[in-house]
Amino acid sequence: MDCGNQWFDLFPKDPLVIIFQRFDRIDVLRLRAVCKSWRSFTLDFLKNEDLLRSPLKLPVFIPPNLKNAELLQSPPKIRFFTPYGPSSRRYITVTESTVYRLEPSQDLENPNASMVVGEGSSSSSKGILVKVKAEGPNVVRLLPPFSKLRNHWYRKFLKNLNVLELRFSEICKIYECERFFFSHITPKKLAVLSWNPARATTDGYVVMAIFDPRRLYFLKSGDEEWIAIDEQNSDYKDLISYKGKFYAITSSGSAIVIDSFSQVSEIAYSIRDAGDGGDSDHRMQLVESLGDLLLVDRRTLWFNFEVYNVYKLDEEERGWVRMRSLGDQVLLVDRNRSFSVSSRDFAGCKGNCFCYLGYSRCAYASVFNLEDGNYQNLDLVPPLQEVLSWALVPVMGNKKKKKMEESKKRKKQRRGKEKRREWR
Amino acid sequence: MSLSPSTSKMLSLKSSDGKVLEVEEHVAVLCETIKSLVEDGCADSPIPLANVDGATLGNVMEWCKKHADQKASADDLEDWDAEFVERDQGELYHLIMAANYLNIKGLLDLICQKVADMIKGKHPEKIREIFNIENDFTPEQQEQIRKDNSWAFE
Repeated sequence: MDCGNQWFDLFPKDPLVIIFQRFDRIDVLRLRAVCKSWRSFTLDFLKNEDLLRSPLKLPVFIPPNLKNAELLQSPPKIRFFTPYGPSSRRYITVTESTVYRLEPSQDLENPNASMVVGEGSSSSSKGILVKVKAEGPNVVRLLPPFSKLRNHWYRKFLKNLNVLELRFSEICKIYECERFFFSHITPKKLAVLSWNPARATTDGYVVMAIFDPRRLYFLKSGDEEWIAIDEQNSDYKDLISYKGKFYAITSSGSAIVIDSFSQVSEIAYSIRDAGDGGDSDHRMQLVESLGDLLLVDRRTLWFNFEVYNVYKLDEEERGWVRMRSLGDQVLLVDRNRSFSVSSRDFAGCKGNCFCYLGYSRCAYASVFNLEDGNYQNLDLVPPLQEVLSWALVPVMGNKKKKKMEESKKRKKQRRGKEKRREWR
Repeated sequence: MSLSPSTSKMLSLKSSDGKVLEVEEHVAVLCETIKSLVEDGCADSPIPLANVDGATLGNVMEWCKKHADQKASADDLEDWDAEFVERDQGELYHLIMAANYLNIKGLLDLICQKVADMIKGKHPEKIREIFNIENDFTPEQQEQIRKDNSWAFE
């Protein structure tokens, strides 16, 4: 049947919008290159979509001890200093971005395609992780998944990039909240259940956050104030949205579920043995992996010696089951984000491990292998390092790298001199 | 076996090419457009559907019949739907037009999903091939597009 360009020229716009809403941003960008009518429709669509997907504006959190009659009479403003001078407003913004695996497109058969990503490497099916953030109808920012920093490496990479020649596979969505100088109004952790900034008055969004001192708060569109959940408890370590509900965990490993109507139910008992309780140096993080909810427990025993455990939630047994193996999965975790990828998608990587990216004093990244129970610096795991090169370059920092290179050079020179002396 | 009068009542629908199709009322009212006609009492004579041809109307009613069946399980329907959408792009196009005109949300969503899946992740060249679309860009515009796509990221 001959349809020609009728798909766009004669087509009613409503079904087209329905079709387009099923694409991610990258697909829509690609459609600009099909024909004239698709191009103009795409640009219109993106403009509308941007209005819908503009950053979410949430009411400012007021710590309970600051709540008083005076404050309640006039809605609070936050004052902070911007590069343009002092400013104050009544909301905090949350933005959405998507983490993709990026690889040369298979159906293209373009000999140059593999060059784009696998720069300097011979293997063709090498994936790389990127974070994509839309900032206007035609502007999409590509960022390292674990950082906001960009660098020369990144700029070089962008020069060689062409949307049409790459395959983007979505890994997860990431929601980031702006950070304030005053830590008590900045969420320690934020999770989003539904997200539709356009309908901010009714069923626009459901979010939860952990605020200092590690208490849980719930917020639904239309509410003007954050609602405290499980008020007695003030050591919530992490929060995640999983299977349409919020899951929050305390430092003892006991977990609760909160649904979109802020109904709370207990889901897992504590994992800690009686003799082991009391130390607060457990850092716990929830990760979704292959449909399971996992708990990564890191704990520093003594100086720089860390113990890791990975547990899986067993909802029927109401507890955490220790995992001996993660299969081919690699868990990637930092303070704010966590997700899981399959090592098979990244040539040369070994699975069954998790990688923690931390930023205490200087940034570091360590890889813990479940198979042998060892952990090592990411520098020593080259395939994984390449996948995370986006995350790593800023982590290492240019200054530190230069210093390291210089000291290496000096050592070499010294060794060279010593050898020459021996020669004589 | 007894049927209540409302389920046994037949409606006749007339397609754009003059074919008349007899459909049970409880099946036909899945189309919001027909439902509002029935509620207004305007459904006695054959209902003329000027924007839907006979073959497409047959397909649409086949879908409505399956989905009006109370006994069908969700899994069953899903499998059936998956088979139902295995058509070429011409047929899909007419189905979308019909579903949009007759206002059947379920069918519209289903076909739109199918079309979206056909487009997702494909190179523009391939999309043109699938949907029989002519590349109407001038060489200068082509160059601009190439630039756009390599500069999409800032």
